[in-house]
Amino acid sequence: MSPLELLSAAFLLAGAAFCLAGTVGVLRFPDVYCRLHALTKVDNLGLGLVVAGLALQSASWATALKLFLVWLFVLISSAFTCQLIARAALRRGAVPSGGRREP
Amino acid sequence: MGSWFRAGAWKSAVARVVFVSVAWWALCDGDPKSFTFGLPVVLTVSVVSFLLSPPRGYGWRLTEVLRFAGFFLAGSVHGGFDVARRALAPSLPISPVFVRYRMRLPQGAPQTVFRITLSLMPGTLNADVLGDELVVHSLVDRGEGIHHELENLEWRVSRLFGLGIPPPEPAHA
Repeated sequence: MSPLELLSAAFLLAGAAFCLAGTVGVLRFPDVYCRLHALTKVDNLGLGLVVAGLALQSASWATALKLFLVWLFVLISSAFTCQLIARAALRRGAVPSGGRREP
Repeated sequence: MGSWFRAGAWKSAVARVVFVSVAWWALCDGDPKSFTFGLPVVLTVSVVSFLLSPPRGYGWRLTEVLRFAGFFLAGSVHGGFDVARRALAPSLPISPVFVRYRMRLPQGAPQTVFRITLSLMPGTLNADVLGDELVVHSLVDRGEGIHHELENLEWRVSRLFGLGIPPPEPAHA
């Protein structure tokens, strides 16, 4: 294996590990709001690492950029989706675990 | 249509055309044969983009965009690590809390960018918007620390758009 392939494999494995950690978070966290943290932040980092690993193996700059665009758009849509789910949960009165502090 | 040609609008136009062209080039794997079809597509998408969201002439600069991108990347990596660590730790060290935050940024793109980025920063998540007031969910109750982080992020977003918001006061520990 060339150094580039090793680096790519390291990125891919790290990405898979973060996706696994994100799923563990969804299963373990107590309420919908905490689970959204796991879904948005951890999975975006996992996807970013997978994309970086694949970009290192890609044949051309255009393919690498295409992978980056995939990550960027997933990032934006997951941030929006997360906000929509949180708002829907709040307005339906999903009970949060933990406190609430007014300014 | 005349309002498009204010100072700043040209820069926005060039940036959008460049982005769409580069995206097309990436989608077609840089194949030169795709350019005959790509040119009309780039023009159409650019025009539609202007019709749906006319440039508002924010005084953004490329250096500030790159600086913010670096800050955002570091923050989202930190955020991912932080939540992954808490999810895997046997004791599940979280103390979720809702806080309210009054935004000083103007409505529109600055507020949207602020809300998206704060959802990907360590520990915070935008849950609801009530006018200029945000409902923010934090995975860990860090007291005043949350407020200072939000102020810092808001200040960085305001710099991104070339808006003047006073920098956050240093935290009193």
